[in-house]
Amino acid sequence: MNPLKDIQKLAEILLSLTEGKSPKEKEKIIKDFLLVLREKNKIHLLSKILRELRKMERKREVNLFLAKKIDEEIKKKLKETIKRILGKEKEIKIKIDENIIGGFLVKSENFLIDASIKGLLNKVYGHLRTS
Amino acid sequence: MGTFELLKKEIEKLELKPKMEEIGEVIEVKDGIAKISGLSNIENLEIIKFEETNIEGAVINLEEDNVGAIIFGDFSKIKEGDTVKRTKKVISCPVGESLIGRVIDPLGNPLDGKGEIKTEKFYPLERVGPLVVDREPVNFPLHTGIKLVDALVPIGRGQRELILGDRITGKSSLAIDTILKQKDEERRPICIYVPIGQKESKIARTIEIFQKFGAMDYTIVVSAPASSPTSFWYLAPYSGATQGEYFMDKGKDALVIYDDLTKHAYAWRQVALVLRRPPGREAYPGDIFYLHSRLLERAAKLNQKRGGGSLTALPIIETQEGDITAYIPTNVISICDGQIYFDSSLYLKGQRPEVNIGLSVSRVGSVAQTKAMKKVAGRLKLELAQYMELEHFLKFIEEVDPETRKRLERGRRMMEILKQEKLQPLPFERELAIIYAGIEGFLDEIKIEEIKNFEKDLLKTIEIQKPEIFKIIKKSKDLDLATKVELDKMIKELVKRYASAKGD
Repeated sequence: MNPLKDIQKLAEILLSLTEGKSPKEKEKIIKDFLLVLREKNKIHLLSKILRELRKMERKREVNLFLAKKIDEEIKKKLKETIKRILGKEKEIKIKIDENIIGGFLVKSENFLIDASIKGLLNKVYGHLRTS
Repeated sequence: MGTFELLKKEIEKLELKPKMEEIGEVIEVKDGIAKISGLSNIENLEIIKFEETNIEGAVINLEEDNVGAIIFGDFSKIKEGDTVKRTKKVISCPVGESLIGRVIDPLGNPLDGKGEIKTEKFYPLERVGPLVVDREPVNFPLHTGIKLVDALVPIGRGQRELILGDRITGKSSLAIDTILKQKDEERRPICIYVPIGQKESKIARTIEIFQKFGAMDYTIVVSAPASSPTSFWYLAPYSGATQGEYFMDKGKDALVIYDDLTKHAYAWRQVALVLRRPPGREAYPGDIFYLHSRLLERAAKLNQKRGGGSLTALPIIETQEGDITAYIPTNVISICDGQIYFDSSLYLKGQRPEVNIGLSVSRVGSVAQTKAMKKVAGRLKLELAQYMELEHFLKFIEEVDPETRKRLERGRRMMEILKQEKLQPLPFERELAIIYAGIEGFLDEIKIEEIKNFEKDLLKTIEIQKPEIFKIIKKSKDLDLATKVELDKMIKELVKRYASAKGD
């Protein structure tokens, strides 16, 4: 067996078990998981599993940057659209960043949708400088 | 109002709709190298752009969860967390006739302040050399204008001939002379000079020489000076080869000189070590042989079906203390079709250029010579070999018989004839005339100190009195009987004059 695949699988199992559970339930699941690991003499894999988990989290994470707080209604619509484009399983985090001036900016590990005023101005600046 | 309108017009032209872009994030910056997370769909050798600083780079390392990229610019400006964008272009440079006479960096940006280079064609820097079916054997000479090289280690078009030797032994001078010599060639090759890791002052001096002799009319300089990023040192030879390939594909001849590949190997070693690739012998990475072999495989003579063009490569390698058995020299020797070895001890003995005839070879051999040169050089090689052997023995013996003495004297005169100063490449027919005079034994009565003057006088006299001799040899590339008789007459007359002057 490929040890790397093993670790990936363990991380996936842990994630799927804890999904949608309350904090208390989560704690119990994690404790059980650790017990199983110890029983199977696999406790040394823990740090690797953690790293894998973090990687998976990064993959799922999508940051939505906004210049200021906006209506819940618009927020909901935005989230829906982002999920439609980037995939359902994404976890959208909203961050407020005044530096983007206006509009919004969607950033995940591999993709970027720049609909901010800052990005627009930068584009115009870049174009005018070269032409 | 006018400015406002203009700005409005420009901005209207822009596509401002937000698009989904593929990005990554810088996680580590080392000397000239960036490690980037994300960019999961990127290709190898693709150009990337660092968003915040507008610096470009190219991906050369694809790993499980990050990519490594070389940076084309000031890497100290790039910070951890910077956004990196894909461009979906592989590393390429502009090619074409409009680059002739220009000085460019490996990515095709002008360095000579003569303005933008306008071309439509872009070729990728990394290309695979022509296939076996597209090639034909080397069959046409590339004259260097150096008597010793043209007679004893002839170079053909499409050949790869290594120039190696210690520092300051005139390796670059041979390369520069070769470019200068192409000026009077009928089928003039486009020359590409690629200085790698040289001082800017030295490159400027070389370009000045090219300009002074009118060689910039057919030369492209792809410059990666010592101050440029290591990535440019690494890319420069490939860029030079790409420039040459454009002309080769068009059915023309091209000559590319890599000055020098030792620095290129240093640059690749640095990049590989920073990328944490396992170091091997002399800390070079495992692919150091492939680094040079794929570059030099691009030199070729194409067959008539593919247009008959050629790309000749003259790589230069610097040795340490004359050690040609070090790692990089042996690698490149085995890749090339021969080598010209510069020996610094010969310099002290007064030989110019200080080429070690015994260790220099051309595996292509006399097919890369004109008929005329073949006739003369075949015997020259033999005579010189015998002379060298005798000279070796002479160290132990004091008295020699007249026959041996004659051989020795002839050999000494031949060595004197082969001497040549820098920046004085000779046309082929002139080389031929003086070597012919020596090999036929006409100069046996001339004092060795007089040989150089005799050579000058002979060439001048023929030029004035019988320029047809040169013209015929140049045109027919052969030494026929009639011309031979004429040439004999001229030489004999001059010898007589020298003899009577001595008598006075």
